[in-house]
Amino acid sequence: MPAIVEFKEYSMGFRDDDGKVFNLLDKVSFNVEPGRALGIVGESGCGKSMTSLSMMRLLPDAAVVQGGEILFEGKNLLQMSEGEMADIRGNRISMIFQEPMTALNPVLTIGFQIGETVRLHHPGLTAGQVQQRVMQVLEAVGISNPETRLAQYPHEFSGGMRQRVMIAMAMINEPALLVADEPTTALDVTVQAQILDLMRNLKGEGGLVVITHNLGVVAEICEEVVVMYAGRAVERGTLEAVFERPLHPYTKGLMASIPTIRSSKEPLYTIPGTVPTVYDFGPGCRFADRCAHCMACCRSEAPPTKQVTSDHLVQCWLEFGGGGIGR
Amino acid sequence: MNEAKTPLLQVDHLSKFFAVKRTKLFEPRRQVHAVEDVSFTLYEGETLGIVGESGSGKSTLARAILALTPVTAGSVQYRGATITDFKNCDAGALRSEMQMIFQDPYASLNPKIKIGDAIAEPMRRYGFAKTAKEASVKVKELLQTIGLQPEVYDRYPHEFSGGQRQRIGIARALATQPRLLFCDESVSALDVSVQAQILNLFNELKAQRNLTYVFIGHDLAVVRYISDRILVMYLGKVMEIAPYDALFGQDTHPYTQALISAVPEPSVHHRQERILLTGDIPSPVDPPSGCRFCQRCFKAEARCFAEEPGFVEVGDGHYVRCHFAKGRCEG
Repeated sequence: MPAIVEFKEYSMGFRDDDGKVFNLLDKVSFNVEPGRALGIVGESGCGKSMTSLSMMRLLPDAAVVQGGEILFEGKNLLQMSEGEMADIRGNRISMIFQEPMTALNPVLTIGFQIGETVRLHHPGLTAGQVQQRVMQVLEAVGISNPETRLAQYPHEFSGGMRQRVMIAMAMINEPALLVADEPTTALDVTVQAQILDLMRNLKGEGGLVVITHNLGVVAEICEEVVVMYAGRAVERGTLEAVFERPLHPYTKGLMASIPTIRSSKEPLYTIPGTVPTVYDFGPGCRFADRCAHCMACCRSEAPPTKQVTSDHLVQCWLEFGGGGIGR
Repeated sequence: MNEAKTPLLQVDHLSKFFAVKRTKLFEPRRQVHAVEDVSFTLYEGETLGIVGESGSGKSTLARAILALTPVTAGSVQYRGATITDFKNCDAGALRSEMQMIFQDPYASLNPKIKIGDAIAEPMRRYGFAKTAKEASVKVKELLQTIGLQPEVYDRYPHEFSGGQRQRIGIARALATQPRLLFCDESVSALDVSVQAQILNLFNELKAQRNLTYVFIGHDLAVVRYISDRILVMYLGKVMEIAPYDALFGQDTHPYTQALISAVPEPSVHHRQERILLTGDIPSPVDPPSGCRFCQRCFKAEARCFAEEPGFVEVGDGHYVRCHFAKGRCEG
């Protein structure tokens, strides 16, 4: 089956005030297939939000694309004109943002804001047809009394309801790809469970990309995982492969450092040190300074991607025999 | 493990209501029942976790105990002395013995003050360092205890990462040699790998300095990990007080069961049947009569809507506020 979106060695960086370019995303590759959900996990500053904004071509002005391709239904998004992109955004690719309060306009009704997406991409529809469509989608995301609700303003909705409105807005044109950037981070666990349930049910035949720092959320709704660290996709594969048999030392460390609801009271495993910033990435593996298995080659050269099994890829020198130094 | 515990803090029927502004002239006066009739005892050297959804009154409870907001009713006793009315007691000594660590370490540090001076300030204020020189020596010692280099004394908050700033927030709270620390969502804003470092630091400091913690959070997995006992709040009331290892039993409150089942687990195994609560937490203005949780409870029956359940002791130090809870003596 052809992938809906395919990242091919995509690299981007930032230009600072002096015009010097610092690389952030380095040769990121992954793809999203129809009906599948991909989770992109990583800590703050790892480039997961830049990955999602790249798909929407909504990068900040200082961003510089340094190479690679982002194919959407076979066409390179990076080569498209602004006009072609405007046809895709909100129509073929939609995005759900983290803060449902800041993403909604407080002075416009919910019905108007959801309908705007339809009016923009389907100018032929009458006002009645648009309203019909808005009511359908509100019902689909579990908002009761859509007739009264669509005349209300964002402040009349609770946090969970606002996130449902955001999902309705993203789903209304039945996009081929839905990108959700930290969709449940601002919500309580009970409401988070409702929203995850809803997203799982609505996924359908489209592709879903969930960007989150919460490994639990990924385990809940995704089939595929990309683990990002300092701008590189250090490990990717199916949920089972990455969660059951993690190979990259960073993925292993991350999994071990999360207290779960059943964990013992032993001290938690911690990854020493802190995440490097864009300004001090070395030529080698970006995790080298914090890695317990660091070898000479790790500092001099970036590890290539190794296909471990058909559904599991990792970027680590350990998978290449480690240059003779044992684990 | 229960013997020889000395109570440090005793909270008795504490309530805090906020008045709602009237929008019409003859509208009846209404109140937000932020915290209602909360009682618990905190023992020396333990960690009490407080969990609940946003709007359940966790932070208001901490603020009321610390007398940062006047209470409506009830009393708080600290080491045998009533501290509800700060005017009648030695507020200075109490402030130094009870400290708070906040959620957002960036917002709680003054960007124009060097972090060394920020830590020295409470030390000087409460007389733990007589001179500036003594303070700077002590601050540098403290910085080492919390895992930072003493050289960072002269740096400003913006030069630190989130995890380091949280360490500074902890150092500042420790500057007055407190006995009791209130941690209000202290690890919620941190990345997972940093969160693990800070949680371990909390446990190390507790062992070193014989601290007592009240740990407020919304992440049940984190709160359970750090706490000895857990207090579950819903709409201003305590629904359950349980030892951390009793949370998975059959005897827990339906709300606790729902909270536990809602936590997404980072594993492909044991996905138990979800208890999905419908709707959101209702408004604490005019809370439901009967059980606070009746509108969202999956077990609710007529009695729950009519009559408020009392506390039932279901196990050692394990209390549940539910009509369905079976007391120990009843079998």
